Amino acid sequence: MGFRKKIFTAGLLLAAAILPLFFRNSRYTLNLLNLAGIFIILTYSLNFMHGYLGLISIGQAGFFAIGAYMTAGLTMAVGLPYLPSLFLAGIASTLAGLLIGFPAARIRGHYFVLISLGFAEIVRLIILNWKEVTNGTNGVNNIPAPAVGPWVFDSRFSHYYLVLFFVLLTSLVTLSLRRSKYGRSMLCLKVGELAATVTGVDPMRNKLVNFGLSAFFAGLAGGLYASYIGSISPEPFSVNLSVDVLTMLLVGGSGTIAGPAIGAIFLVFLKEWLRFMKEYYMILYGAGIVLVMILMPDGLVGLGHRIADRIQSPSD
Amino acid sequence: MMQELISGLAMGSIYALVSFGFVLVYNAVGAGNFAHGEWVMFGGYFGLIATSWLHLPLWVALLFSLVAMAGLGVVYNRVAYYPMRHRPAATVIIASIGMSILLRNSALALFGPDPLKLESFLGERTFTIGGAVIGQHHVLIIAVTLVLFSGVSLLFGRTSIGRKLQATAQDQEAARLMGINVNRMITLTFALSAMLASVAGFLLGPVWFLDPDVGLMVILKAFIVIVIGGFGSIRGMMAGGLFLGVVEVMVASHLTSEYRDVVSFLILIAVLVVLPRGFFGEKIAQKV
Repeated sequence: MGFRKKIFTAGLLLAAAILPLFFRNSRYTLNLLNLAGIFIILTYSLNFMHGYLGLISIGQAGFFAIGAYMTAGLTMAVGLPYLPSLFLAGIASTLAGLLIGFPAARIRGHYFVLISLGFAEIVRLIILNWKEVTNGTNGVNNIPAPAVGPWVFDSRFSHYYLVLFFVLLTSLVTLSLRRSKYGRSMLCLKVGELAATVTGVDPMRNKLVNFGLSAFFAGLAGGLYASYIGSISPEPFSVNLSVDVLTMLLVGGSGTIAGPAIGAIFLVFLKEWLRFMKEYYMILYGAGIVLVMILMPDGLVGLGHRIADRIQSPSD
Repeated sequence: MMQELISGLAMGSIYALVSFGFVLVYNAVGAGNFAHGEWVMFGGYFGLIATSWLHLPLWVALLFSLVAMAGLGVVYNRVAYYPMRHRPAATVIIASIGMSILLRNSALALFGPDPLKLESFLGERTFTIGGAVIGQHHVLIIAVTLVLFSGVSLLFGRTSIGRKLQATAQDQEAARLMGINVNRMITLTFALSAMLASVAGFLLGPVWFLDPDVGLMVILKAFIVIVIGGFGSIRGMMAGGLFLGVVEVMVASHLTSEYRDVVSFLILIAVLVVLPRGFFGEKIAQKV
């Protein structure tokens, strides 16, 4: 990492750390910051699949839901402390990822989209109908605030730092994956599966590692969501959520470090700003997605690069 | 039993019809149109505009919907496919997802969240065979679907415009070299697919009613049908649709109504695992 990049990263971290201090009295803004953080993790989780393997999943809501319900169940019904619950929820989500990964690793293109969609729908329908465990449409209420040792993250302000910690963890894993043998093998598979296999890359193993990581962090995001909101019901875990995450990834820029974060923050705030348009805001949101795809296919990060290039070499 | 079978076949016919429209565009441009479910929904809503807002007779309403949907298909192609025709399929897919959000919420703003019923050409009439009461509309659904499937197959196999459409779907470059106006053929495919969606919406409206989420529901089912039948085969799609419709009705009435859709999605995954070619179609792993 170059010196300038180090300075930039340090500045960014500092900014993220002191940002909520300016909004201590605005519960509204703090809420958006928390949600943005949770969506950043979720978007990073999809970035594993799309950024590293080029696979489009419309199934992240399934892993997110498993994480949320497992965290709620483990803290409330089993009585485990928060961090072990969150971790186990991530593991449960990983297992689901591997389970669906075995068939999914063999297929590509549209069929992968469909299998991920089918998986998420199955999870949602089970949550909706298995009333003895999930309490059906009424959902689970009064989920306790996260507590780690003596600290209780029971305010939007303190919870922000909990989310921030996991955002950093997720981005660190993403970064180190890129530099590991696995990450390089995956990028190899993305370009050409046959060629990668010939050079000794095991597609099944790499894909399963990838799906496992993706599911783990999506589950983690779900656990954070459950304890942050305090109550969960099947409603938010629909296809729409998976679509939102995919949109965040592509609007930000897939396969980059900054892209998922930028996309998630941008869309969480954009949705809020458009809310004054009442029933028309989702229409604009849909139109916005189409426009982004037409005008900046590499997302905001790609657009940033293009602008930077233009400034550096104005003769083009 | 007979009753269930007929209503299963009717449901399945609609699934097959929705899949058909989806696959037409997919084969022509190599990317799925994830707004196709919303097209079906709008096909029905256009009928509703004609009957309850403009007080037109149902036949005219169907005509109105067909024309309006063909227009929508052409505009859609211009806005959400044509500008991206040289980009990766993922871009086109995301754009179509954007369009589906746009269309679904336009419907919500225009018609509200409540389910609205579209009239049927046959009303609520029923007839009885061996003690089973069968809705005539169900029979109409099956008949119309069969006619449309054979009609469109004939169009593709026997007419010059159909062959041009097929050539475009098979290899755009080669089709262009043969002097076929590829962009026009693709526009035509979008219009044709939208018109099939219009009919599907008309058939669906009286049975399931129309609400802003109905498009999502039917497209999810259509995906299952496409996986069962394969992207390539018209016969496969018809068989897959009928199979899924009957299975759903049987599961709902004899096994579990709550987990009916879980069973359907498990079928989707099972087919992908066990029969990665679908029952009729091509090899899935090689379709990128």
